[in-house]
Amino acid sequence: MKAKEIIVSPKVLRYTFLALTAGGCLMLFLNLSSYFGITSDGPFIRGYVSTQGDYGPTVQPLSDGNGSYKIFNFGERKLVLLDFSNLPSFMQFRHMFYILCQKMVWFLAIIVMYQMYRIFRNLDRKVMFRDENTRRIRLIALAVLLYPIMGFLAEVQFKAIVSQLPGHTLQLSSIPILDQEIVYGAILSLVIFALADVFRSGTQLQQEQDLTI
Amino acid sequence: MPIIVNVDVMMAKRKMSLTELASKVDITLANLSILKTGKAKAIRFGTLEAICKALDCQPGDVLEYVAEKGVGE
Repeated sequence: MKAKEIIVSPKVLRYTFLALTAGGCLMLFLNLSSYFGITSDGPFIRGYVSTQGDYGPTVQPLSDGNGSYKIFNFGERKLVLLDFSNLPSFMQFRHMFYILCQKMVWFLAIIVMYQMYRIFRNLDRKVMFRDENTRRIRLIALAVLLYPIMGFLAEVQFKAIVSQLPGHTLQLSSIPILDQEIVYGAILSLVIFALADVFRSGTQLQQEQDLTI
Repeated sequence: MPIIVNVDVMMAKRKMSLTELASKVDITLANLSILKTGKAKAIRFGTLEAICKALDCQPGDVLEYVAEKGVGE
């Protein structure tokens, strides 16, 4: 007996991505307003910093005496929240640049959600192989490539802010623990770019089909 | 494109309108217009046969090859 196929209709996906886009915009707005102290007690910024590890492995023998295991400590990520007593101390270029980099990550995610919504809207209208869709897939690929890079930049900038805090005791790592994300982002981006190229070929075939009388 | 479609010439010779030809060939006016204006990328043998039958002509009367300037000189 043939298993019943479960097909998610483009209409469902279309409205799902629309809801995600709207939700993302709302979250971005709320997040920004809380940073500036509009919907919070006062201006603040928060972010992750990577702390230094000891790099040398800690050797732990197995209890049965049949060997041992090594633990490598490459540092860890810590969430730091900086509260500002007044707006002028908050309104500094380096803080604004950090917020720009951090929120750019959100903005890119919103762009991806919106482009997905537009693609599924076109699919819902049976408009599949069009140049417009190819452009949108390319834009998604670019956003996916930029996403971890902006995250990396934001963390580097936040590390610079934290390292200048008077009397801080954090042993900060020189490079944030994000390098793998950049590699994954680049690979995923290449895959999506390849998909866009396949879509472009599909568009050409569709055009030829449309112009065959 | 060096292939010229002379459907409009043959239609004028046979004093046939676009609508009449479209109904005889059984293709839409939009597609016939694409063919007439030279925007078409390909033509099916079936369509060509129907056009030749409707216009009482040969494929060579409908299609013509004109070499592009600067190509193969």
